[in-house]
Amino acid sequence: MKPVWSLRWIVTGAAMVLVGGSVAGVSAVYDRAASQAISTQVEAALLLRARQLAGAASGALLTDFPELTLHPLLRDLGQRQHELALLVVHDRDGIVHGHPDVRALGTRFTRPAGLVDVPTREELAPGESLARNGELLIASTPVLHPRGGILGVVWVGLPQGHLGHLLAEARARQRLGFAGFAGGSMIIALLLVSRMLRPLGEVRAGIARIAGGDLDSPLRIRDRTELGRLAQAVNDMAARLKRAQAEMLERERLATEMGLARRLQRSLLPREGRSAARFRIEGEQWAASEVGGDWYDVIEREDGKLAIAVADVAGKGLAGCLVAAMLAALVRGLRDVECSPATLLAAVDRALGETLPAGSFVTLWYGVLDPASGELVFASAGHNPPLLRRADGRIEWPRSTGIPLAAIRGGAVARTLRDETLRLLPGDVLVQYTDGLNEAFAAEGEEIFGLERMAAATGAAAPRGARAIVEELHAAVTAWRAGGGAHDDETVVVLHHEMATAPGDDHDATASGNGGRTPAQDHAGESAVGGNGAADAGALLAEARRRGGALRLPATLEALEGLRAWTRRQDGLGRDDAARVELALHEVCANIVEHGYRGTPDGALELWWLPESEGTAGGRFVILDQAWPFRADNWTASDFADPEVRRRGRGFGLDILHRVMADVRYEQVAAEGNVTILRFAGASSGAGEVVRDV
Amino acid sequence: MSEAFEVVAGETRGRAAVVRVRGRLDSGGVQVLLAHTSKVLAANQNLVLNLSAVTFLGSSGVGALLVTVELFREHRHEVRIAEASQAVMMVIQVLNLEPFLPLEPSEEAALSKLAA
Repeated sequence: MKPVWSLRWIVTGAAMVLVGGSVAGVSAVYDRAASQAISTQVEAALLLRARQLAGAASGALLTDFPELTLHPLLRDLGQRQHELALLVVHDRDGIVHGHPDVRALGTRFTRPAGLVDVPTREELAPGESLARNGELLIASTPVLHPRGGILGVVWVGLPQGHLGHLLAEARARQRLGFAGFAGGSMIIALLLVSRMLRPLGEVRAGIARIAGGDLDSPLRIRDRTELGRLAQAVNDMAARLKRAQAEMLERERLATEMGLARRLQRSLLPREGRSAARFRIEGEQWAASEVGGDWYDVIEREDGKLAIAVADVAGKGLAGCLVAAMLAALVRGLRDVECSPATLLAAVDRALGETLPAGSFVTLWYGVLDPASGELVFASAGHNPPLLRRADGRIEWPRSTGIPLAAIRGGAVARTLRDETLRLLPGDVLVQYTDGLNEAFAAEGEEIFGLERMAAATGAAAPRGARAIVEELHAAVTAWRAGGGAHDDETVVVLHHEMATAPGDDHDATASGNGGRTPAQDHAGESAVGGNGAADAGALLAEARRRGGALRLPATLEALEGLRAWTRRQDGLGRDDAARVELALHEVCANIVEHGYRGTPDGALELWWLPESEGTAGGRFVILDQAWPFRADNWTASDFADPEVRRRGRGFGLDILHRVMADVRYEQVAAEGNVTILRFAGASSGAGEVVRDV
Repeated sequence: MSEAFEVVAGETRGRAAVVRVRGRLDSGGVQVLLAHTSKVLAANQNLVLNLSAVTFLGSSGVGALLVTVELFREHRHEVRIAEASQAVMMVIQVLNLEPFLPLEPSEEAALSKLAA
């Protein structure tokens, strides 16, 4: 992670450098000017001194003994100003008449060598000069006669060193001052700028906090500059982030709640359709986008009758689902206690009235079906009347009075409930539903799907059975909605009294019951299916009967335990073979019991074993029943490697059957019933292994 | 004599529950078995299923075993089948289900596999 540079200290440093630099620059310029001034000053002073002497020497040179005046003058001057290195007055002939040193008097003056004129601002009178050589700075002035004419020259000189010394002194003083100034300025710059930029440090810390997830500590900067605004913006952003976070958490919580509600709702519904005698009952629920409180159930009672309930809870979401769960528990608990639907509904109303929040209510339709006789006793608490389509196509809407449960508290609902009875004959279809179905809105416009269309869809699918009707209704409603969303759960339960005769047959469809005859016996008058196969099956059956040794079992799962002993007893079956055979026979017989006889109390099965002749292993099993024929077409071997197949956990009976038996055939023999022929080739020959990649 | 399916006993060993069953496991007994195994899963435990006393295993029974193994796997738990009886082994061999059902020779072996 790259280190973050502190803007505050960068700017402060820059300010200090700038200030220091400026002061140094100014100081350099000042330095030059000051040097200039000092030089000029020194030159001027020198010249002035020379002129002063010239003035004094003028009178002296007119006397006979100028030394007498000049010497003491110059000696004192020389003593007072040590720095003067040259101090001479001489006459027109160059003879020295004035000098601090007595011994120099009367000698001839030698001009110092290498004198170069110094450019100066001073105005020089004629004969005056200001010059320097390597050692000295010299000013010379002529001594003038009062009436004009030159009497002599005054020479005054300063060593260069002296000037340099002066300059150095001045410079040092000045530098000290400037350094102090620079230092002070830099410190002020440091304090001022770093203080002004201190909020930056705060902002940086605050942003680090927010990045770390802390949205609760706002920046405290009361600056009036842009930094203050920046801090304000950062605080606003943090507050918005916090709100968004809370909203997201809330949305997640709602979604989880919805997921739970959906699962709960699903778990209250029957997992699959049900058959009893010749009735087939199928139901389905399609949930709306928002989970609602529809519920339905098909429950077996102790007395063998079936209880069917369809409810619409007024309330959505988890609350609606919980009421549905309560309903489910109450109805299940009461189904064996209360015989009459109206009294059951009244009992549910009492319980609900105590627990439902005020203003909530439930519509519930409850019916008890006797599968043997087709009689249906029902009561309705405010629920829509079911659709009853008779075998000949007539449509009825059987009503029962009753207001919704818990619509009025205190037991008033019970007084409005009444039992009604009707009889479902073969070919009749009863459809109960919730208003999510018939009140589905079309995609455009306000027209609802409606009861007539419902009746039409039911009629169209009726010949194909209960499941087909359920799916046809859903398809019709979905097509009606044409892409629009569902506002309400769509629930439908279909009771279909299957016809004994084949569809399209023109037997009398309103025959009441069957007088105990089984479906296979009803088929007796028809020609057997499959031509040759059936004839062979008939012959085989006759052969089996001739040989005897049949096992006769009532059509119950418990009775199938008898297969074990029987298979062990059969000739030509070793112990291992007997065990495998028992497994396969159990599957076939369980199929006949569960799907063929479907709970008809008096069904039976007969089994024979016909071993091959001596010398050939294996043999055939023949099974005879009088139940609904079993359709084994379209069977494919299960692919256990597919986890979905394993998760379903069902339908493996045929896999077992085909792996144990070498051949499986289903025939129908006139006046006898269904004949299942299984050829067993013996485990040692490796028979029965199914090639999976067919 | 009816060999109705029943759960004989069960105990908890560490994070695993041992469930012992007996009798005929066909469509009637499947519900009972699934009710017990669901409780084990709900208690967040692994499962050791002792099938030594199972006298018959039909298609619904073997289906229930497969479903249980898959269900536990989905919830990141494990199932081990210990001491499968001959009846159980026969069905598993007929359908070649060995790769899909974790079998162990004993409860101890199963428990140590789960603890690992």
